[in-house]
Amino acid sequence: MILYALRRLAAAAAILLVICAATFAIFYLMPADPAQGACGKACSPERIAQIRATLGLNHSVVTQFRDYLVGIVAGRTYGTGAQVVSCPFPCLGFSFQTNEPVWRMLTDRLPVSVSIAVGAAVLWLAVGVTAGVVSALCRGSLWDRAAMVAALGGVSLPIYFTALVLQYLLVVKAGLLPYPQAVSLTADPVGWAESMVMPWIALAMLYAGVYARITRGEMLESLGQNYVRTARAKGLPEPTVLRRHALRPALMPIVTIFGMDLGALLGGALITESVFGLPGVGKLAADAINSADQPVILGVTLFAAGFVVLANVSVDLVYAALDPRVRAVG
Amino acid sequence: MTTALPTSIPSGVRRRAGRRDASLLRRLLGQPSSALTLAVVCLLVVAAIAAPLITWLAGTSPTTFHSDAVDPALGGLPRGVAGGISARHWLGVEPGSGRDVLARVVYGARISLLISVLATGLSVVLGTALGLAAGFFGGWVDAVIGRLMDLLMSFPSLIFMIALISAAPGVDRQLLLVVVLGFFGWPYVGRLVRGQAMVLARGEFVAAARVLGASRRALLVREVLPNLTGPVLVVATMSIPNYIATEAGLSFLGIGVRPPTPSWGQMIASAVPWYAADPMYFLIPGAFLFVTVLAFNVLGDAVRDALDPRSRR
Amino acid sequence: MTLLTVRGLSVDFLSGVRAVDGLDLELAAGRVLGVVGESGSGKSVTSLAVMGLLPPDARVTGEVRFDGRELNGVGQRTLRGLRGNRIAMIFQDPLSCLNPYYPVGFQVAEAYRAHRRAGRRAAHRVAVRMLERVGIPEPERRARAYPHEFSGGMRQRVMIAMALCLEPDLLIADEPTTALDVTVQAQILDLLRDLRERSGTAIMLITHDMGVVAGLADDVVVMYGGRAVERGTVRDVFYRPRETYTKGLLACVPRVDGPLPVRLPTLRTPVTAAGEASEVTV
Repeated sequence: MILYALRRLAAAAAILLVICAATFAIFYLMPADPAQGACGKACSPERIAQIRATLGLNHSVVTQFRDYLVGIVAGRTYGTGAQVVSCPFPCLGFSFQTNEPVWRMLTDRLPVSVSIAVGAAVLWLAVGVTAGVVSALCRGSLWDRAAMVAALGGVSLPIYFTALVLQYLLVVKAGLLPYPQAVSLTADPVGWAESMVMPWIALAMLYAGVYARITRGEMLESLGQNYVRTARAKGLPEPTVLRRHALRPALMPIVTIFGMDLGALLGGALITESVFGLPGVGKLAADAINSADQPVILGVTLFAAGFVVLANVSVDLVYAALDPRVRAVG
Repeated sequence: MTTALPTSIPSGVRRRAGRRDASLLRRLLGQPSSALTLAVVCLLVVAAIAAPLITWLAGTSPTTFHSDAVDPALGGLPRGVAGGISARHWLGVEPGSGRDVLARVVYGARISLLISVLATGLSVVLGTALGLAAGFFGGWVDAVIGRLMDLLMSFPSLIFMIALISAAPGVDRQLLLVVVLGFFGWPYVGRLVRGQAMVLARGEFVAAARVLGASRRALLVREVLPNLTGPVLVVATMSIPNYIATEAGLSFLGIGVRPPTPSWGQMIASAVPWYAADPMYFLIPGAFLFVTVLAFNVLGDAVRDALDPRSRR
Repeated sequence: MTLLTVRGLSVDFLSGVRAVDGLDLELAAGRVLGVVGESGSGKSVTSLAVMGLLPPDARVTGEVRFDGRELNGVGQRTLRGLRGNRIAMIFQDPLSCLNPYYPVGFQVAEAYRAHRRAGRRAAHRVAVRMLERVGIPEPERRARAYPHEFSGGMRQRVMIAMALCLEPDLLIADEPTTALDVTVQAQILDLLRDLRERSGTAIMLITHDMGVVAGLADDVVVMYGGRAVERGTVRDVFYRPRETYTKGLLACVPRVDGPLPVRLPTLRTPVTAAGEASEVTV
């Protein structure tokens, strides 16, 4: 088990390295000049040359990549002499537009993304899995049909469209909620919850649809298993049969998908955060794209990739812990 | 966001090639829900193709500014009710510029369908070729392609696409979108094809053909490939709505097709500052986007059910 | 004394298939009744009808009396009290019949706890004792193992332990040896014979294999197309079969003491509509 965990972690590190190299290559082989991007529109050639030197853009790609990797594990400094800029461990780059290390920008924004992701996840798991289970149990009923139509609708909703409809209805028309804004959980818990309600609902509508469909399918599959018949033949009460012998196996694939989805969301719900104007990691990425702040884009990409890869590993480990057959092999 | 591609296709989808296409259409038309969906999809495709005709009939164009249709005193809000819906502008006008919404929606449908269909085509071609190679030849070919697919599927693809597109300022956006979407989408097809090809390569009728002295190429082309059309058709239908949604999402973020070429995601993005005063302007392209994605999702389910009766639940 | 009486039992599925058609059965306490027939003859559906385990799209008519009480049409609550407790069942494929996510000891104890007020530990002790009784070596350790860690024969032993831990009056064994190797089949039959002698449990043995019936049953019912076509003691049916179908069924069993046929005969009886209700419905 421990060996298995180590092997998975090593594979994850390798994947991150490849992603890192690929992202790096895109930025440094593409025609856009990062120095130009760091400096802005009206920029003298001298200033650009200076920035090039500071960023180390005159070195070869390989040297730059090596410096970048070293920066991640040990921190680094940019430039020389009076203009030295330090970027402490773990250095995912330095934004010359905001004069901040990318890592600090990311960690500043992370709580918002986590709030959005976790809250929405609780909501969609509760709604989606419940709806899926009930649908499977009353398969073919009116409820089942209605729930599955609703689920397909939810799956097809573009998040920014849902977001605008929600804002229009709840804020403009009904006046139930204030315009969403960044509120700290510790300073103003009620305001925080109010600002989070709409992103939670918007994300949950999409994901609950996905989860209801998957849960229903898995549940129907496990209800048809012979061991469910055995459990009934033993005379177990029906709730126990359903919970222990039908739901438990049906939840296994859902654990996998949930881990992946949560990992992807923790790395920034790009569109959701942008449309609600909430300053999370995703909003940071969207802003960086608009202002062509390449070190930030690169940093966010790696940061998000880190979450996805980490989610992958966690899912594998959780799966191994939950499934005795995998556990034995691992 | 758009990660909900099917992870597996029931093996029953695999059937003998034959008069499947005719019977598939018949079966789709036999069910009221899928017949309706098929009609909606056809309508959308016709509208997209006939976009110039529609705008000509309506007497508008997607790029003409109609300053008379908006009220500068109200900051450029459309004159009249419901976003400026009138006999001249059937779906209203864009606030600010006064461009015709109907014209932009039908031209937007072109972009949406064109990019998603081409991206699906690319991912199907790449996925089938590589998946077939991996599943049929096995060994190191399988190892290399398998790793590549695993790697691509564990990429945070949306953010990566954004990084890629935003780092390439001079490149044609529509082409880039197709390439990027197809490139990140093919492993889903590839994984499926690989699995099916592995089963088929060991199947009895392939063994029979091999015993009869068929060459490897003949085996691939005549025995294995025809048996893959069913599952590939299903995964292709199911990936179209994903590509439509992703393209719209990228356009919404400002890295889709460049203005003034209209696209639905971009229209919704430009509606954000106006949503409180002029809700029609986000409702109309949003509704088109929603209905299109929904129609293709229903169609995907219907095609799967029609090709694999066992999966009908 | 009659333990189980089935009178005019018919099972219809919504699809229009009649899987069992006016079947009569009788099983006395402590006896073994072999129910024989080819796939689709309705024998498995009969056993599930007795247990009340048929899917909701099945309609059951007729009488099923167990220990003087009518079971057809009574509530799930009553049936649940009997299932696993007084009527137990084992199935054909022991791997798919055991839940892969729980240790076998837990699954055996689960049956016990469903009917007796027993704590986890007490039930576990019962489970270990049962596993030992069905011949599983190192039962204390193996109780904590998962189904995939057992061989086919051992899994069927686990199923038997699960079925017998509450000392039921009736054990329904649906093709208990079909999925197993021949040598393992013999072991499981020995075990069933032994358990029956010790506990006096009546067994309804469902099989397509006349050889299995000969080794274990007292009485036989031959089913075809959802009906009983022949019945009697094993001796009668084997030595003086009256029906051509039964003769055909008997001829399908290879004999060690007879001449070796070039090819075993194949049954060529026309299949009726009822006969088409295959095991798929189960």
